[in-house]
Amino acid sequence: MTVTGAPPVTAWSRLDRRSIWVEAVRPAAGLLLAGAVAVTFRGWDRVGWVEPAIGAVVVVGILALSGWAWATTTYRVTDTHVELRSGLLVRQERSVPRDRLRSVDLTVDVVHRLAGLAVVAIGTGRQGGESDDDVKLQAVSTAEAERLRSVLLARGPARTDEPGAGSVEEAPTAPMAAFSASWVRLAPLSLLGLVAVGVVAAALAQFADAIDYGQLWRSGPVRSAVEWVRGVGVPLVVLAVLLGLVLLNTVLSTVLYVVLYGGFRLVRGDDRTLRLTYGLLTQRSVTIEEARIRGVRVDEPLLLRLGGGARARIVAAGVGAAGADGKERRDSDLLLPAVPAGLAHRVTADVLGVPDSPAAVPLRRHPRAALRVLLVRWVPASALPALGLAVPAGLGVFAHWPWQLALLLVPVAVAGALLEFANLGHALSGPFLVARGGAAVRSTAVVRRDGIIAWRVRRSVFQRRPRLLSVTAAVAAGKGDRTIAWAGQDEVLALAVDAVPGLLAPFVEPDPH
Amino acid sequence: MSTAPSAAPRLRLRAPAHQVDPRAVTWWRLQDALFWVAVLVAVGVVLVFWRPGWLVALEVAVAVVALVDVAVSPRVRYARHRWEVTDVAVYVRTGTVIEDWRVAPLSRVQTVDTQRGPLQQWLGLSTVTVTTASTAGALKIKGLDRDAAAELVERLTAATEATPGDAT
Repeated sequence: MTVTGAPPVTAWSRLDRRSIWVEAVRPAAGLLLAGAVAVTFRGWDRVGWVEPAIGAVVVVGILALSGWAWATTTYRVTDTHVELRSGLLVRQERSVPRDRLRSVDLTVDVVHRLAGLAVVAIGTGRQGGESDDDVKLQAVSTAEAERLRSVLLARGPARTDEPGAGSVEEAPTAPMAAFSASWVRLAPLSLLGLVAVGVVAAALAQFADAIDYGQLWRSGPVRSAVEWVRGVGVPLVVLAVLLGLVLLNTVLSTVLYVVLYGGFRLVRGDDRTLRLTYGLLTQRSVTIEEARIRGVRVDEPLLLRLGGGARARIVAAGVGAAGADGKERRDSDLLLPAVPAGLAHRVTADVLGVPDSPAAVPLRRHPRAALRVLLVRWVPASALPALGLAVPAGLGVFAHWPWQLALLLVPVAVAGALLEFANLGHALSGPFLVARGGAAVRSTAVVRRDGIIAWRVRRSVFQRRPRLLSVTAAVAAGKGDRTIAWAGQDEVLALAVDAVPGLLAPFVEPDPH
Repeated sequence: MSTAPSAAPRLRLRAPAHQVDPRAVTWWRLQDALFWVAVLVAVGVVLVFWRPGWLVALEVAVAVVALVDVAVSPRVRYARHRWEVTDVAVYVRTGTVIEDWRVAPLSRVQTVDTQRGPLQQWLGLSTVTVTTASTAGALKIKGLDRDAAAELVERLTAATEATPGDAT
């Protein structure tokens, strides 16, 4: 395979020299922060010369490790492979065939931006087993990152232009989607803010040891808060707390939405790639080869759906899968953040190359028997906490109100089952298989029928008599597997036979029973 | 397109053509027996030192369940586990309480592996695993005769190599 454009690099290159101190900044800053918090809680008088000395030694150590990591990491792009050598003590050599590369993901956080660096993650789409062949370069200069992107995804005969290094700065076509102020009104409908509060609270809890609870309890603000609660009564306080949480979530979610997705642009490149750019502080730029896209998934969390919004993700090999460190690269399969549903459908249709989004076609509902199965799954489990609390209450060792409160879970479970049943659906739409499911988050997956690489059909004994089957279409893509859950047996088998010609047909027969 | 409602004919997945080797029944029986013996011995050791009525009853109950399980379930499992390889696809059925049918086209097969545990080696059995690029698409044929398994692997590997691309 010949690569037009930038000539292939065959010499080993190193990461950018600046990454030595850039990579050390974060752990060092964390250390400083921890120190500052400790000092705030314990006072300056208990800090001698030992703590700063330890701190200094650790900072020097971090720098030394960072330098060593830089010195031992080299990479190169040959005609056929991308190779990465790394490892402080255990040497690792990773070699990935270039025709396996699916996506290039550039991340530039604030520190990296100040230094003019970018982290490059190259998605390979292998999964399971010994597959940690995701390649991550942390970090190279932005110019080198751009060069890598254009070299790595430039292949095939369709490329006619003459790109020099880093010339694909700005695609000439109009963006398929661009951040708009109207998107922001959907932000408060997510729970992003509360999740953030939870994360911060968990982080603060780590310093809980340093807090003197007795002193905190006796302090002025806490005492007056307790007095206030006694004064106004519990229901009003619960209401006030709920209102406060809603307000907090509204503000935080909006801020986070703008910070995370501000400046969002989705562009189709002339080299048959999709490029997403977004983020105000940490800038993310993901390039995905279009030929690798197997479908899309449109997610509508209940609140967002009621507000007329939807999110979308890409189903493609090399995105959304776990990276080399076992952790998923966050949002590496993002197609659209929370946006108006109409736009989501327009963009997904555009990405899939069809006039109307298959995610919006009318779907075939599942038989009522599926609702019974769902109720059996949801309701008994929801009654368990109440049951568990009622036993000690009956024996008189425990108050009665907890189990009565826990009983509230039962109607919630019934609602959940009804909601999930209402969401179930599937269809064939042109070259796509559409499967919808989920309770709190309605998730509509659209996968290319020719991308289905296996069928898996499951049925528990309880599904045998009501003639229900759960059919999974396996797709070679991150979390691409799509299950049509609790569908009518005859109808879903006929659909699966149609979806992939010749695959399931020889194994399906008329049922005499 | 057969998405027309109501008139849909009643359909089912047919059983794959082949059963695994009858020695698989012995294999599963030994596996189950070893598990139950371990449980019975563990409880038995406690019984040596401490013998409340309910624990004796439990040991007896476990022994009864173990006997029934060893006698019945390997046969049921053998009857349920069937496989078939056509010119275009691999088809495997497993499971009793949760039935599971899997079909993968030969063109999408990525690897074909064979495993033999100690019991299987002694009985001359093999388990063949066929993987695709998705975790939902891994097929296992457990308890094949060793030579038949080798032959199957050869055939599958040949079919896989005949297909260009990386099977995604």
